[in-house]
Amino acid sequence: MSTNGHSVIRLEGVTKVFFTDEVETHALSGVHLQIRQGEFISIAGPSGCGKSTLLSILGLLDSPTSGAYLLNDKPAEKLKLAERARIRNREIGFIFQSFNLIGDLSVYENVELPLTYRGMPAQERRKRVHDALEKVGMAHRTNHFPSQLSGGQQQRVAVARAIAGNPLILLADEPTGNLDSVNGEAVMSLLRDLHQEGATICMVTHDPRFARYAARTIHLFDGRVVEDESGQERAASEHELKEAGLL
Amino acid sequence: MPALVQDAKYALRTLGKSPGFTVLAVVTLALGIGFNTAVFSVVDAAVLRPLAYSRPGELVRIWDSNPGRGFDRFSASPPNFVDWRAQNTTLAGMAAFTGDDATLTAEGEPLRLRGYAVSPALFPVLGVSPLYGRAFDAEDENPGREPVVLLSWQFWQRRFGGDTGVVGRTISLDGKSRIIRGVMPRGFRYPSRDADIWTPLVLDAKALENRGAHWLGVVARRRPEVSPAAAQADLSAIAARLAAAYPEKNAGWGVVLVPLQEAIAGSARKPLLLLLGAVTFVLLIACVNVANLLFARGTSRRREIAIRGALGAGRVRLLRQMLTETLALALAGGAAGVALAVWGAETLVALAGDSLPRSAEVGIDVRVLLYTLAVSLATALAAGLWPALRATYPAGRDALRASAGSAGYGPRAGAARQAMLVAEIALTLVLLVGAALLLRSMAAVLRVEPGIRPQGVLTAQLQLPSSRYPEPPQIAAFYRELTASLASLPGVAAVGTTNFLPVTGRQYTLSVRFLDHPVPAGDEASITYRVVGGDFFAAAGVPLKRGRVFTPEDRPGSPLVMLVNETLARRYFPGEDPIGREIVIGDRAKAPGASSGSSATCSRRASRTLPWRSSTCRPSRCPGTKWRSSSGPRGIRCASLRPCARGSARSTRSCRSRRSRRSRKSSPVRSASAASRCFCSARSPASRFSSPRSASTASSRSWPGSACAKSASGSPWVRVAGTSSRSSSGRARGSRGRASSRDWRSRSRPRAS
Repeated sequence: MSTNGHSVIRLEGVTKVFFTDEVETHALSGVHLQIRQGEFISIAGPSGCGKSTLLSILGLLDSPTSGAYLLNDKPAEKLKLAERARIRNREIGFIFQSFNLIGDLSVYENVELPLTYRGMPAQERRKRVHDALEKVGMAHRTNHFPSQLSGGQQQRVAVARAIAGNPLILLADEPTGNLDSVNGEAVMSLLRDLHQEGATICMVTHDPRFARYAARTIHLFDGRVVEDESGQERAASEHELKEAGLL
Repeated sequence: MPALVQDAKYALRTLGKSPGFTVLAVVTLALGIGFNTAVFSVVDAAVLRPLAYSRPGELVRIWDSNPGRGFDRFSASPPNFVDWRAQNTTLAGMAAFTGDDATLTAEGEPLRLRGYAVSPALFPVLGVSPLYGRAFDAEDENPGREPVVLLSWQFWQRRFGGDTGVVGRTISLDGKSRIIRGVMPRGFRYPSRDADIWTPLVLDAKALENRGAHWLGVVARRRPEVSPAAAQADLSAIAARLAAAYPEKNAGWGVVLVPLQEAIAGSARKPLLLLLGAVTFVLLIACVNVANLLFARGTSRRREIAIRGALGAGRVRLLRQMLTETLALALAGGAAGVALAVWGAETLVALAGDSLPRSAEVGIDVRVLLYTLAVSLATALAAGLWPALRATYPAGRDALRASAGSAGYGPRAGAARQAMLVAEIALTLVLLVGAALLLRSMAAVLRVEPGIRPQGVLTAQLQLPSSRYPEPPQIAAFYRELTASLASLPGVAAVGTTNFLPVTGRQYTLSVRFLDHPVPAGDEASITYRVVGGDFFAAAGVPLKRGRVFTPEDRPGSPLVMLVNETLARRYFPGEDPIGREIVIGDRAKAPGASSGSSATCSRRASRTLPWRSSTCRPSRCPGTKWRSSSGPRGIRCASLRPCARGSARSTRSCRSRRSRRSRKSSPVRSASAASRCFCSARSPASRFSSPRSASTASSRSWPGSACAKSASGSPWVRVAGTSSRSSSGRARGSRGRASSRDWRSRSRPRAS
């Protein structure tokens, strides 16, 4: 899957400072980032480097302290809450580490939920939910509740919920963090398939095995982007390390 | 709409998965909404709901008024009524009425009926027509017309089984034949809820000559184009002309118009609204309780709300979802509350008894249900909004990462919960203070010395038909014989008679003057009085403070004497000895005057004839009879009265012993007025007597004292023979409140003699 060059997300000098009891914590410091349509990037780094903070800002769950955030070429850093909610609903699909399915809703209703908030007609909702569940291989479990599913199945339902609305970008926060390796691989394969079908994906992970699924990796350290590595560069780097007998 | 349905479905499903929370919240709200609805149903019926008459807003009650003498609303005198009716230009119609109870005889057991003599115009004024037959003609109020009667629907059903052929038939009332002119519709019982019959009010020349006798109730209808103020001004102008034309009787008297609905609500309005306020506080406390529950529940749902927010639900959407759940709780609470309200309203009506106006209209109808719905919606908002606002406060990513159990609100939510706790305590304190004040008032009422000793006293009410007892000597002979017969019964300690029983609120008012302190016409003192006979004071347990009680020598032809109570003596004879002083009664006095008072007295008209007969007549024919048992009331049954009465005359009622709901209470006042009374008709005690409390209040507020007279000889002045105890002072004795708990009254009919 190749990118078409159109910038879906652009961050320019974004900082995020948390204030607690007169203590300032700089979670992000001058982050510059551009994600093009059709890209599959992973954000990697050690714990506390700001990965999730960055993802929250990208998903409009949080706002930057300073800097510019352009989502689909539109400023998004100072949007009102209602507008943020609307954009999250229409432009962004979330996949969480802990699945975050609503326990009182069935599989079908969980997937349908964001479409309901969009005010989509019932017939179209039904079609989209069915298609999404087909895509993740969960169409046969529509009437089950999350508690009746395994972790891998729940994450597949969460993926279906994220893609049902056909968003501009999928944001995945440690999507394999709560899964064993087999289910983790299955979910990553699913994300790879979605990417190959044209989806733009931004994934946070600290597991290098899964980071390799992405075509590009952003390395964060102490709130700063310390390395922006493409797949080819990463392959060359890995080759050099192997030559040197270090890998 | 689909989103709303989805919210509702989800709310029901969510609540169903938390049965403990749901049941607790619904029960809490049901109690709050139920009590509120119950009280509202009573308030609505008694105060708010328009009267069931045509264009009820135009209807007014009209009263004579003399604020200077403490009579803000007083019955009208017949001449004043006639002048108002003739001279006004703002009223479409005006009618008068007065009580005219009668005894139905000649068909089975004699039956005492609550009757009213009414102007023929009453029915067109109220806009009511008979269900069968026709109403009175205008000519029916002229003397000498054919005697006719209208029946209430209830009496018609009860006595005639709904026979439509009853119109045109003749019944015997007080020994006189009256033709049944018609049957009124089911809901019509004006002016009281227990009205059985209506007869034409005939104002003869004698009635129209005395402007000082106030005994008519007046109701009228404003012309549609006339404002209440204009009607009031019109009538006030007439009253001013009458005051100028008849200064002796009308000086100081005005007229006051009150919307009929307000007049019917009367003094019940304030306490009812107060009660509604109290249960609203209860509802608020329920709301705070449920809000606290919702807070706790919101904490556990923090993560879910954060997920919904992340998926694109705006805050308004989330608020709607949360409030839908609260609304479901409130509606369920409202539905359960309605069931509770049905019971609550019945209980309130039973507790209030006669003091509750329009009690027959109390019920759960569409208006009440709409109110309940509105209260439920308001409750949902009151209980759910703040928790919903807190729950939907943007949570950010932390709530999405936290586990369900750890996603709390933080310090701000803790402060909110503390604020709610403070509010709950404050509301509860307000209620507690109100309840404490109410209890203090109740305790004060219980401490009131009613002026009588109710223990061991039985009462009965008799009515003598004028056809069989046309002359005073016959009446006097009957009661002489009756009291003697009762006194001879084993266990009877004393027997007395009176026109009105004490602390019932029923009494006559009398204008008196003191020649030592002349006042202009119209400024006479007003006192309440009763006529008593036999050994009344011993039977009622009224202690004599000074002087003497009546004796058999106080008979027609002997000097007039009266007893006054301490209140009157203190007020009109401060520092003086009232014994032997003279009081001028009415307008014909020429003799030196003395004073007046409140616990037992005699009317001027009564004094002209015999002790047991007054000009208003009816009470004298049906005085309450008291007798005191030396062995307690258990030793005497009302049935004992019947053979005595039968032995004295053939046409007295059979005596039925009945225990009223009120009599089960432990109030000594109640035990005096209701618990120990036997009635000679099928009427319940509650329907015959106003509440003791209102009687006590009226007496102490409006009238300076009271007096009690026995016999007369036509002289307009009487001499004070003795002073009885103050009727509303002193402390209750320890055992006073227990008298009413005795279960000596039977609901069953006594054995016929």
